[in-house]
Amino acid sequence: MLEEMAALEPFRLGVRAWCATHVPIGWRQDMAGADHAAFVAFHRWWAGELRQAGYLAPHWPAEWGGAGFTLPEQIVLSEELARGDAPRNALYQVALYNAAPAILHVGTPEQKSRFLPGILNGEIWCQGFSEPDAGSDLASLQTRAVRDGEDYVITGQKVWTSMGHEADWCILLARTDPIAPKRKGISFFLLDMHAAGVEARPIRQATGQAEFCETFLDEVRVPAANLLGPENEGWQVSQSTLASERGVVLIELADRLRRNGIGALIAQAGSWPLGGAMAADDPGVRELLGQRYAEGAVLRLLINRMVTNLLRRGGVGPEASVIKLFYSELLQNVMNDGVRLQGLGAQVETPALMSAGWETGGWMYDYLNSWGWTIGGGTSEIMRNIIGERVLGLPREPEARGA
Amino acid sequence: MGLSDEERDQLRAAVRGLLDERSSSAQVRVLFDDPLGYDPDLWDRMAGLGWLAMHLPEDHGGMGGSHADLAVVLQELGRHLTPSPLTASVVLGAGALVLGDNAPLRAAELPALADGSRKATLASCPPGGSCDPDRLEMRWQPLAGGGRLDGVAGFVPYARVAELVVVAALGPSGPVLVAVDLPVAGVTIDASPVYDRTRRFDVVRCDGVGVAADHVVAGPETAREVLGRLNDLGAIAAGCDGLGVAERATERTALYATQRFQFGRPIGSFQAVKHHCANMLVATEASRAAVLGAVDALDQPGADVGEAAAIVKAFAATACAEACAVSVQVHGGIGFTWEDDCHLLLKRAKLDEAWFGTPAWHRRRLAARLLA
Repeated sequence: MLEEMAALEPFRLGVRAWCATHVPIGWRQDMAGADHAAFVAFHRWWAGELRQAGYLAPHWPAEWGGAGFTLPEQIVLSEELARGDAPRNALYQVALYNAAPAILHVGTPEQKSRFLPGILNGEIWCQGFSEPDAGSDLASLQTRAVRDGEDYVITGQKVWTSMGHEADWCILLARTDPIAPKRKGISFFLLDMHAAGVEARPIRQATGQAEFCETFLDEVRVPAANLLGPENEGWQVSQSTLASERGVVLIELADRLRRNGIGALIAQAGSWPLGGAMAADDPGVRELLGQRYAEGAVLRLLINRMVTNLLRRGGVGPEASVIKLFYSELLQNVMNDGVRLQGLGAQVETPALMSAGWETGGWMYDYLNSWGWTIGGGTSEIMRNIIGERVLGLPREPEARGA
Repeated sequence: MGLSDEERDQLRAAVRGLLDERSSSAQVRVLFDDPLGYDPDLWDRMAGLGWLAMHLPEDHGGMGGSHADLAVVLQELGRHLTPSPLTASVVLGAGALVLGDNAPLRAAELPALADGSRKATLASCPPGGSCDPDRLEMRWQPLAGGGRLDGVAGFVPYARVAELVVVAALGPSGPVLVAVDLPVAGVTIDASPVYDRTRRFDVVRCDGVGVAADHVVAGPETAREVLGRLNDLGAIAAGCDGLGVAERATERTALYATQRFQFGRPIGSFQAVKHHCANMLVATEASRAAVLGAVDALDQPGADVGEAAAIVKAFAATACAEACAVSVQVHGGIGFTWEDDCHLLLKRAKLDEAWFGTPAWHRRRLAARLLA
């Protein structure tokens, strides 16, 4: 992989130059305390900038308007966007990295030509998987979809739908066969969030922001043409979207954590008083900083290994769970370090910095937000179950009767 | 040039095959009370297969391969808990000659180290085990035509079976590295048993040992840097060893958790146990990334080996030892017995964790670089 990366040096310099002229100066100041409308407007504009450069959908094939970048090119792009402190493209993560891969993977030609251009043109997607009674046990979801002529009629409740109140479309899991074993009666739908019977209500989070929604579906009619993949095989479709581009997303997350999380911790330790000196002069703190720096480096090395395996063998295996777990816990630990070392200063509420991803610079805010990673997308406990069962071959926990 | 990926997989299979056959738990345990502390027959087999020489320069009897090739052998030695002077001789002893600036001595000594007919070691710690050259308790007094050594060194691996020891000593202008053929009058070697019975360490005392100028491996101008690089090399080698140990601990613990039943279920189906096993796997895989990243740094001109080695010690050394500690817990009572291998793995990983600088020392070293 090293040779391939070295050959990309001109490409890297091109992205770097683009970042230098396009990443808006002062966006952090502008987004500090920005309201939701300003946040959404900013992201729509930023996605447009990325689209014009061909960087919005670097992983898509060219026939669908993507850049068709090779994996090493995608890696370089991720690294340089993190390096250039580009705003994190949070509003479009589901569209680009969840909905699009599923559509590209199993969609019909009609579905591809209907939905992919919309994503490139700035349509926002959300994900309707979790339910109030189906969190870690996602496959027990109860939202029902009943076929009625050319439509499915869907009723139920979803929760933790990120950006649900901004979204145009939703990738939705609903039960089409209530009698089949729980993983075999689920179908995957592309739901119009503007359809009658859809209501998204924001949920205020521990950070004070309302990024998530609970989404109520009351006899929503979804055309059968918006069933993605075969009926009752939605579970398999949802599992297959863990595509290669996720590895590339992880690079951006890891590099941002190293630069804006661990790097900031090391830099700020020099300005936090401790005893008669500064935290950065304290041997115990220095040991902690060295440890976090090493952990950040190891995170990146882990991802490099995954990407190398991807290039050689194709497909991401359960090692993605190792990285998700490692990243989530490192993120939480680093933010907690900042909270502890800054002391009372970290307790002062400051305006939330939108668009900065998981490292806004406010240690307490980021610490609170870090549960989004240790819980969202499969809790750390579920990750450990996956690692235990799929990597180490340990037996599953017996399920309660009737489950 | 090193081996291709496929060739390296074949090398791993060959090393594992030989060590499965020659370094079983029973065979390792027999060596606990052996005067040599290693299996000379296995040494000869490994030497004959070229496994001592893969990373050494071709013009001195080596195979000119990469450290990544050697790393395969080191991981497998750890995995099999094999008692071996390999790290002492071809990583540390040969490493001192390669990194030092005495070309004639290098040319004279490396071929015999590469083919295993002679063994070397490195005496670079005081008896307290620090890796800081300023704490050395061996003294160097320059004299006409060479100099003399007086003092003591600890944690010298396999000194009793070595024919050459490279000694770090503090002289009036700072540390030097000199080579001493063994046995020789004035050098006494005493065993210093460690809890890890799969390793041998000795205390080496020098009492007015004369060393000719042609046996100075690195003079005061370069020795400090050479010692630092040797310590990094040792740290990465110990990281490879610990990785092999942790990998073995993780695999056998997952197997045990599948086979051991309590409450009518395999204990590995309980999340408390399953999560311990998952943590071991995460520790092992993250350590693999750190260790192999550092091995790659050794093979890349211009790479920051010092940082890579410090990352191995700051993260992987501790993670591998912790995996072995959790392994004891998952095994329960049997894991606490002498009969089971849990304690052998834990002791070896704990030694690897402490060797070539503690994790705390390396974390502060990283911090010093970052905060400079």
